[in-house]
Amino acid sequence: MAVTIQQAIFTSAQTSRLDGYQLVAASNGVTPEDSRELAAWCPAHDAMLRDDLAAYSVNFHPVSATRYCVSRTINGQTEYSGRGGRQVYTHCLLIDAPQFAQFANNPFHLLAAATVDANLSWRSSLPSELKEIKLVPAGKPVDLALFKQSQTSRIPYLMTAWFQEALDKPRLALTGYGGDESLFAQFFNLTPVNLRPLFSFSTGLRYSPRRPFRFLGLEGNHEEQRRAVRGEGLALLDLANPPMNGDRLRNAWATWILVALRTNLPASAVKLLSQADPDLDISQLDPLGQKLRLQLLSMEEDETQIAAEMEREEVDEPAMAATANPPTTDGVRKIVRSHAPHPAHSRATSSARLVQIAGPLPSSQIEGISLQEQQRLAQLDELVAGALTGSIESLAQLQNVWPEIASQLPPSLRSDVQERYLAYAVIAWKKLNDRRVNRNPQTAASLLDVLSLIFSSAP
Amino acid sequence: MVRKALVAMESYRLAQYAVPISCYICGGDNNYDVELCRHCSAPMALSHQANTQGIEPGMIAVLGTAAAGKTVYLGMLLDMLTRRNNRVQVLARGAFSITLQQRTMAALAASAFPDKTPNEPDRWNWVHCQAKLPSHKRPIELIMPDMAGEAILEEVDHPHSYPAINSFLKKCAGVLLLVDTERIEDGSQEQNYFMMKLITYLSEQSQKKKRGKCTRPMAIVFSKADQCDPCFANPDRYARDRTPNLWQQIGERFSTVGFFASSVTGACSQRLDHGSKINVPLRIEPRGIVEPFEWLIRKV
Repeated sequence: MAVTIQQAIFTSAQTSRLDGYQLVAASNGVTPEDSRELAAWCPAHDAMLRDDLAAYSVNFHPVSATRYCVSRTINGQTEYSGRGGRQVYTHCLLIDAPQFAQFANNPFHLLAAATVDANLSWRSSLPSELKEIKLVPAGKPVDLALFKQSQTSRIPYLMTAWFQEALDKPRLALTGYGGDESLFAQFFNLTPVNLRPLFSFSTGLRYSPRRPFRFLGLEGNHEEQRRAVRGEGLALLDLANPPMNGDRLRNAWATWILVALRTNLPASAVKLLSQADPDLDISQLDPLGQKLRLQLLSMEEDETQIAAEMEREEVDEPAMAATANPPTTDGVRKIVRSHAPHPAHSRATSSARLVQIAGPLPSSQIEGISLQEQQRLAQLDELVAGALTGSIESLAQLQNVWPEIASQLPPSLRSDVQERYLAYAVIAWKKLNDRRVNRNPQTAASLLDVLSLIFSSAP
Repeated sequence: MVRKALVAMESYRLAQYAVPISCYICGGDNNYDVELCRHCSAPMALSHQANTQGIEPGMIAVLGTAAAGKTVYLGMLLDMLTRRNNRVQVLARGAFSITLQQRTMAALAASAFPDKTPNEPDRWNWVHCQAKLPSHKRPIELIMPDMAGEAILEEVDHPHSYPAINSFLKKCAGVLLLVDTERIEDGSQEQNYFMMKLITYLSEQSQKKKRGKCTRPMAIVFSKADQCDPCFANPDRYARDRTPNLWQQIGERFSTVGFFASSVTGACSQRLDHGSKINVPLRIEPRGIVEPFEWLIRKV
């Protein structure tokens, strides 16, 4: 069922009301209160980061408690007053909260629908009148293809750092992303649907305290970066060099994002993300992250089936086929391997590889322990070795296993074990780096994860 | 393994944040180390200077529609007054006070008008200066911001949408009101209506006696008057003939009013840039720049 979207245009023009930047046109449903808010949020002269005609910015912000604005800002021709500088032209789409929920609270879904379905053209010429537009909601709450895109190269680390900072800091200025607005779309894709409206953003506007976007994309503009960090309550996050905290220093949602993107279980992760509670509060993200991480690691064998179901849904959806053939899942289930093999199958591999690199494992060096303790520590060896070589599953298991082992060890032995693993981890890190031409920051991140876990307060 | 360490406590750093600094413009509390007020975006340097020097600067508002010539007028005025002259001597206080003059003169020297002033208050140029009249022993401390015309009108139409303008206009001791002569000559009524709105707004803001007039001095400056000789010849008559509503309103509401004509350029031309017209100042020939300001600070 189609939903109604209000429109407005904010730009510089000479009108009967005034000369200069103003709301030059608006559809009937735009209230005076909306107009005042838009006048405060919409960018005016020299507000674009880039001055070329190809430059544009996608913006998203609340207009009232129950209404949101998704807008696109472009550079037009020279400003009317003959003083140089380009006319900054912003086309706003206003949508009420219940209708926005039908677009999965995703500004990019709304923008795509408006561009394609309503055939909105982003031109800097002023229309004679503006009418409401009708759009059919489209787009999945969590898009599998976009999720898979987030799994490539360094994006998992980038997204982890982004979520970590976003949940810690009130506002972020983002740099080092090369102007790639798809990263914003990926961030929204990984955010629970009902929390998405909390994250207002702009992708190509200059910093101004008058526009308190939660995420401000500053691309590579150093002058604006300096201005932004001088502003109050704004932290700078360089996505080219994302800070990687140890696992214990990260919030659980950011860790879940890392686990979800680093394991080769995209369909399962998307399914879990899609099932988030519609009444979820941002304060509940941490426990939810912990829960989802454990759930995901137990879903490895269901990945193929879930992926097949999702494919079927995608095929069935456009056709609205109620008479789809039942799925043929009677055959042998194929198990999809994650990036790192399952710990149960990988013990020999990771520990043997690490023995070659860093020498004997810690459990073989600790004296005066019982056979049972030695077996438990051998298990710990495997998990530490796996975690050090980058296995997310090993790290996740280590989080559960270490407190259990630590509680069974006498205090004197526990500190000895901790020191052994510290020494071992540092040696392993050095040796692993020695084998590479360039240092890999991911190795250091893994090391920090392991150490922060081992030295966390054991019961 | 060593589990204990000595860490120097630096809690004294937090003590500085316990004492708020009031913004000189809006009075809002801020941390000691912020550059701009969190409430109105005015530079906190104004507060620091007022606190350290123990002075309370007066405020002069320069108002007008978008493209009325506020930036050029203020920049040229400061450039003329900071040179040696026998009328008013001005000394800038704080490096930020030089920016407006620097940008305006650099643009004019390159045969261009300065860029349009952005709408965001954090990007406005503020001038804090010391003005000294030859007839007065003591100099006067003044603050003059260069505000965007659209922002001024937005505040007039919807009070409190720009806290900086709202607070500033409440406190300002005098007003320089720039009226675009070019647009009056074109027959546009927009200048007239804007001025009437502004005068109503200012008179309602001012504390006045019952059924009395506002005592806040106001200089009405017809900018870009180089194309209009009658305006230069007699600004009062020009105002009465060409802007009767403004004349009427201001006479009814304000007791101290002066009419002036000014221009910065001797001649202007236009060039095409990507199909759009850009104004080009051909000759810099300032006329009537200092007089309104001098009259105003005498009245203040």
